[in-house]
Amino acid sequence: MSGSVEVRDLGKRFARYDGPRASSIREAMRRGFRAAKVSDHFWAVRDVSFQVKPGEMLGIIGHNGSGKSTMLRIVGGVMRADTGSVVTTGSISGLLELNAGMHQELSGRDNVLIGGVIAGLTRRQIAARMDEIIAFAELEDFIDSPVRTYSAGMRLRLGFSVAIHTDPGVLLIDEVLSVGDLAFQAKCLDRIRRHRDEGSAIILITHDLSQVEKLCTDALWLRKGEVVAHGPPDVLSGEYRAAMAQQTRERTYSEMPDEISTGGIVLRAHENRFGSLEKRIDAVSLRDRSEAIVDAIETGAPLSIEVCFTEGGISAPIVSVTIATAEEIKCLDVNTEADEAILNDTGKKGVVRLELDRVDLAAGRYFVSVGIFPAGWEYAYDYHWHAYPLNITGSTEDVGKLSPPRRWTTNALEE
Amino acid sequence: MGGISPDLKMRLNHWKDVVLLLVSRDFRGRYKHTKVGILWSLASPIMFLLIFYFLFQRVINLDIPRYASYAFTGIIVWNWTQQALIASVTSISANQGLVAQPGFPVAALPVISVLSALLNLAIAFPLLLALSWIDGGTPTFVLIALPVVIIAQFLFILSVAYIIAALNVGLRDVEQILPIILQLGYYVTPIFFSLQNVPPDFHVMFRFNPMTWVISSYRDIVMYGIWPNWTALGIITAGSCLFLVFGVRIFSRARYRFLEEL
Repeated sequence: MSGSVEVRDLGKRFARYDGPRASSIREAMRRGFRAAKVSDHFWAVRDVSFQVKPGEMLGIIGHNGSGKSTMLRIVGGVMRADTGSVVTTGSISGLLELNAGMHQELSGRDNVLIGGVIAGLTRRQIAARMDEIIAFAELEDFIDSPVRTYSAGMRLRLGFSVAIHTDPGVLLIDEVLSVGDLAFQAKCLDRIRRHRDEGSAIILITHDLSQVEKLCTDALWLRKGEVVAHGPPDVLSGEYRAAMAQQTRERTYSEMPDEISTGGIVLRAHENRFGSLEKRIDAVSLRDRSEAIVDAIETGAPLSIEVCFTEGGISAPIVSVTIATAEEIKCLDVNTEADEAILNDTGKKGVVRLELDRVDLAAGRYFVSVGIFPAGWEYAYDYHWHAYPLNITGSTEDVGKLSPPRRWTTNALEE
Repeated sequence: MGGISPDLKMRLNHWKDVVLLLVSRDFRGRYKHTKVGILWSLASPIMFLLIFYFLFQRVINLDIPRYASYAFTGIIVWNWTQQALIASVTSISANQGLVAQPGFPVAALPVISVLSALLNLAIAFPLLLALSWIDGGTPTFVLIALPVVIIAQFLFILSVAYIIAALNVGLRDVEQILPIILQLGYYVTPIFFSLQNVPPDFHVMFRFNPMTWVISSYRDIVMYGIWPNWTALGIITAGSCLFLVFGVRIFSRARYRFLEEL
């Protein structure tokens, strides 16, 4: 279905109250039933304009609190703007809160009907695509069992499948594309692409810049409710990454004394160490299969990387680990956010451990870099670049860095 | 109905499906996996009937003829109001996911709560008819007035439901106070006693209570086989409609405010 969105000079103002608002009689009485004093207003969204035409997909990027979700709610018609205008054509669907309104005791099939009407379909429309929805969620064998018996992943697949089987003129997506396993995610992305190609106007909010680059035709960067930049996705995500690096450089504490990493390398500010040091990496240890601390392993051996960090920082941090050659050819680049490893940290001291089952690298000298970042990647708390040497032994040294177990076989082909 | 645009027709259709499916969700979800299912909804009214019967026929005689059907009418009619209001007071505040869903008709939520509770009344109604028959009443054609009374009560409950759901957004105490007020309501409505048992000085208090008139209308129709008091029902219906217009307005405003306060 075809749809479009046109947003012009949009503004949304929220009131900031002196102290918490009266939400109970006791508080209201204490204040003598006067309205809480509005001390200040702030603009959650200000002067934002953009257009999404049929078949286009706009990615909105920005840190937490940049007004992305408010923006989406106004376009979705569940919140009203204070200034400017929003004009949409076509029906509006959202991939926002999956599974809202579903009932645990009822079967998956009943819940498809419930989720369907909530997503804006009529009973008849849902009945017509029931089989398709069930197949997409890969729940054929469980669909008549109560949802209470489903795993969390099954529930998300069900919710997603219902929400994606609408005919949206306008489709609003808020950070839900990381549900399920990778195969399911790929299927969802395909489905979203199909909606786009069939003429839906799509708005996607995400932290994941690569999704914006892969899917979107246009990108918008918000900071504190205002547009920082608006343009092609690859250009914008490049600028966004650069700004993050810039932030980290600005926040890097220059007077920090040199330290010696647990890998024996001197850490110098702005040279191989960056970050605000609100939270510091205390120690990093590389361990082999017998838990001994090592700086060398054999090709194909397991390796664990343990990162100890200090208390501090504001929110659940993200830990990243890379393994690269001295020429900065990255062989491994992983982080807890992309792998959906949730760190239950509220600013405490802790240890994160990454276990690699096999390190199939060719023999040679490598370096491990470790970083710790606030959720949202605005800058780094602490980043140790090439601070932990890792020697791989036992195979031939080569230009190709991958050295998996391998064999050659040959068969004569008879003509 | 050529005058209705396809878009409006579609929206009405969707509204209808939302209400039907969510009422059925509430209802089936409640008694699924129980042995006797919906019969459980009869357990509490029957228990109250037995208690009242024992207390006010055997311990203290209130001198109300055909007491069993008299009290049972009061209990099940009051229960509809009580269950509906308790369920709808959190229509907005407990449904963040639905309130934030583009295109979801949030105003349908109180309607759903009121209709779900009506189903309990519907289940108990055959029992009431049977009880009334045992007590010596005979069903008469006056029963055709029943839908009118149900509609009047429906509008009354709904108008209150919108207002309390809206108030509960800004002031969460409403959902705490409501059960207390309803408990009080049980005693200022002639549910298990009759106005004849009350000193005349206090009658005015009961006359301003719409539920007094609603319950006596049911009794007129089911037990006494006479037409209900049309004037009273007319006033309740008209008043409820006025309140409904006001209630829906503050409800939809509260719905927008709810997301901003998070």
